[in-house]
Amino acid sequence: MAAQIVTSGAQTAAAVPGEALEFEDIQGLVFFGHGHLKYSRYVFLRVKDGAGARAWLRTLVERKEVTTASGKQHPGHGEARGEHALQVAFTASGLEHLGVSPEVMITFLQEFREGMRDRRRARILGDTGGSAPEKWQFGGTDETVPHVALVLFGRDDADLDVFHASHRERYQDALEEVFIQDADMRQGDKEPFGFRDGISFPYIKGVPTTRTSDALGLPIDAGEFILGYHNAYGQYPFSPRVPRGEDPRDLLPEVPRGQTAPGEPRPKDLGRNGTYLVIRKLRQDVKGFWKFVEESSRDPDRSAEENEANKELLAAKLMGRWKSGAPLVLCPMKDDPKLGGDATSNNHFEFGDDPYGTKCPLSSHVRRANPRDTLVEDPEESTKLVSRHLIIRRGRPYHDKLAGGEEEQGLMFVALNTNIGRQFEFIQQTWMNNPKFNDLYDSKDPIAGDNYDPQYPEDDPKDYTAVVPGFPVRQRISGVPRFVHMRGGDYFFMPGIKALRYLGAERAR
Amino acid sequence: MSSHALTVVTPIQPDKVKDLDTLLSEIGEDISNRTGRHISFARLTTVHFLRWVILPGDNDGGRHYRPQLAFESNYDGPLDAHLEELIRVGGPVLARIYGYCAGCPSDVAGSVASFKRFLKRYQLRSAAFYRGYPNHSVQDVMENTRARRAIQDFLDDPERRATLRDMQPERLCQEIQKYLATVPGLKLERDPEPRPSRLDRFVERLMDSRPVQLAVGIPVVLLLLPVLVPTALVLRWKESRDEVEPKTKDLVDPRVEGQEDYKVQNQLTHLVEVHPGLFRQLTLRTVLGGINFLARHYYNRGNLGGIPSIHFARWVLIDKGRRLLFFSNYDGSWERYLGDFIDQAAVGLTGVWSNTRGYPKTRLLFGQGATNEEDFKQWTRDHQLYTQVWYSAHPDESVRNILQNVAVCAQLKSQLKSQEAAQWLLKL
Ligand code: HEM
Repeated sequence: MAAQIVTSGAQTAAAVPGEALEFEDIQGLVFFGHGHLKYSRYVFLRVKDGAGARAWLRTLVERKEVTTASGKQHPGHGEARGEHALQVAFTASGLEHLGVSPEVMITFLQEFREGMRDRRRARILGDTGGSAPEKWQFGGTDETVPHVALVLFGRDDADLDVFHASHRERYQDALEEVFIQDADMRQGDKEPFGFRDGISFPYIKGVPTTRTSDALGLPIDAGEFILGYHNAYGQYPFSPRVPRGEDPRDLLPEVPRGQTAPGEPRPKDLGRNGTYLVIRKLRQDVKGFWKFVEESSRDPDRSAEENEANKELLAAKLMGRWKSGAPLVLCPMKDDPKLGGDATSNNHFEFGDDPYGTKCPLSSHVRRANPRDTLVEDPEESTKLVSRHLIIRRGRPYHDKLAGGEEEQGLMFVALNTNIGRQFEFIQQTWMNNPKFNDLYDSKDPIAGDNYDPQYPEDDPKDYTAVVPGFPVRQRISGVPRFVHMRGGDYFFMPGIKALRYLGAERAR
Repeated sequence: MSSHALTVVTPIQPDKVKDLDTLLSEIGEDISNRTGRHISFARLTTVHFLRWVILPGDNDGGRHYRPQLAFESNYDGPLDAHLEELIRVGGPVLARIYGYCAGCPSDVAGSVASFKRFLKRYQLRSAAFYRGYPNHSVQDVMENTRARRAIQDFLDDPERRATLRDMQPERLCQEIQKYLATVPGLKLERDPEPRPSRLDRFVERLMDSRPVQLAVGIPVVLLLLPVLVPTALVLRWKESRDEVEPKTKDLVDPRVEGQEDYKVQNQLTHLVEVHPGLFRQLTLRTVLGGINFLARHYYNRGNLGGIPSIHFARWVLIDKGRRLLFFSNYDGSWERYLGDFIDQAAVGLTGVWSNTRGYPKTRLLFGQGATNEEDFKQWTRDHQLYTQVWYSAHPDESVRNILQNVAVCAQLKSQLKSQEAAQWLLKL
């Protein structure tokens, strides 16, 4: 199938009339996962010397090493894609260490300023028990909080090592490495449980895409994913800003008109073309997941084949798609690998004719992560409301070698959004961890929810169920254990290029 | 039996605010009375939800307000019986709480009658009151939950699973009913739902049908035109002078956020000053009156203007109408609740709160305002109060659960035919 470039609306490429996206100022990760570069490395750094760190940033920008969304890397120009890609983002304490003033810091989102490890936040995200911040590998305590996330992409491990070494040489005097995480797609699109991932993406207004029009869905306002543009409410998202006087060299654009109090000199927009990056290292208990699925579906009276089929079916019921990626609503009884792999049709579905979840359970991961037309009764209203709770996902699987030949597997989960509370946190808290979602009683997301952790037996396992509607009556499995565990992470601000230049500028502090 | 709202707002002796806060916070942290030193709320049979909140003195700039204690309960049955039960169960602890308030007679602990008189003296009417399930008492809710749990136990018993699997829906329903009859103490007969009144039915037709809306609306608007036009002009002028509050606080009161976002149910207390002047009083009271009317006659089945997650909510004008107090008992996260407000009910909310201070810019009373998503959330946060004591009699049930249980239990005694039976089984 020839890839075709589609742009929303009348080829205007504008988020708001007269406001075209400034691709050359936006970091590339917003628009592409750099899928042609199968290996990636997250280098988490702490600032030792602020002035040195700023100098390093300046060089990155001057040499145009930060991958942007413009020119060569644009989807339509696939043949000229870069050999490497590099993105850079900062935590709140990172920005402070770069000398950003308190007046500016307070204009960032509260979620970002408090960080992922904040106690209340950990509670709503389900980062408790074995997933509690103090147990994380990074980001969980003041000592392990990273300042900078440098994300490197390369063709293979060796290539990545060389790429990393060339950068390390330049930053090591000013920044120290606190944690390094590799994540890769050597197993193609499969995440560790064995399902195809990376299928469903929000379709952003004004962004060219290679997908065909019927696989696109509703176009979403760019301001949901990039600061400085109108969001799904038709408003500018809260964007960090700098008082005019703190940008003497005029490196930043002004905040949009109408965003200032009358009489106040118009501040500068530090957020424009930037976004917030959510990074979570999620360990997947692959053995535990398949053991649970097998035990919950086995029937001693049936043949081995039937049991095998039932196992695959139950796993699909928990995920909402078959391993191949084929959506359950389209093929509820049996996997259809051809459909699963067909990018023109594997995301072309809704839940409207399955109100009780007899095909795709109300509690499945895919239906919770995006309820599409069934969030409220009216399907059109539903689609509109859901469009206010979407994220762009850029996660990749990881495989950590452990002592004794064991391997830890999981997902280096990465999400981009402009309002962390309304987008990422909302999905995790209100849709995945909420036992009452979709009129359920006591079911959380069986894949990504904070289900029962036997190592931290605080409450009754009976309160954690998975409900699979069926004939004559549902199967209700209780004692669903937690399969996904938090290992570390934080919220980052991923600035536009102009903002990077501002952050790297020489200043007194 | 239907449920009602009680609001009591009493002045606190200014030098006792701290002591009262300490006492209430202790009670709030020991809501199930493990220590035996506080109130055994679970013994109350008339209460769905109750709370105590200290309204701090002078927290609203321009005018001076003295510190007050606000109490709300959502209760079943007659007020006197509710108050008597409260005084009986609360006993000396209640007397200690109100001992910190001004004007509390010294013999309250000894005399139920004088305590009742005291509370009633400070009772305030709700300007608008919403109930998610007005005809279901606390006892109903709990009975229904028990019945549902019994059904789950029956279906989930591994011994029984294999035999149930191959049954036809009709047969399976019969088996469930047979089993329930053997569960001791389970009430299978349900009180019939009261029929909607003629007014209810009229309002429903009005709200749901375009032609009826036009037939009633056009003459009404024509009649009111001489009032509406000047009102609109005054409103535009007033709105142009409304000041948007600059962002004053950095982080929100950690005590407020710390008590939110628990698993199933949550609460919100919100207090804000009303714009001064007769005109704003009039528009505010009119809009609240309208909401109250609709909540009584139309939004009375688990849905307030599209929001499905509110158990009980009320607006109360306090301090002679100068401030507007809002209490809500809702399901799920704060983000979701506020999001529902904005996504579903922005018009109604803006109609109310555009008459209060600092609300995001509005147009003609109902326009904009809450649709300024981030500003509206920020404004709500800035006016939220810490709730010292909050009790729910059925903390594990969402509104949707409660209503679904009603639907399940309504058919416990009926003979369900194939299609009906299959439909009923889907609710389990
Ligand atoms: C290790 C944990 C997780 C695994 C194994 C996992 C796996 C998957 C898979 C296989 C899909 C279907 C493929 C696709 O549509 O792209 C999917 C979709 C999705 N997941 Fe996850 N996921 C995980 C965690 C999360 C988390 C933490 C979130 C967000 C809070 C999330 C949000 C989503 C969303 C938004 C979709 C797309 C739904 C749609 O638009 O249909 N996932 N996930």
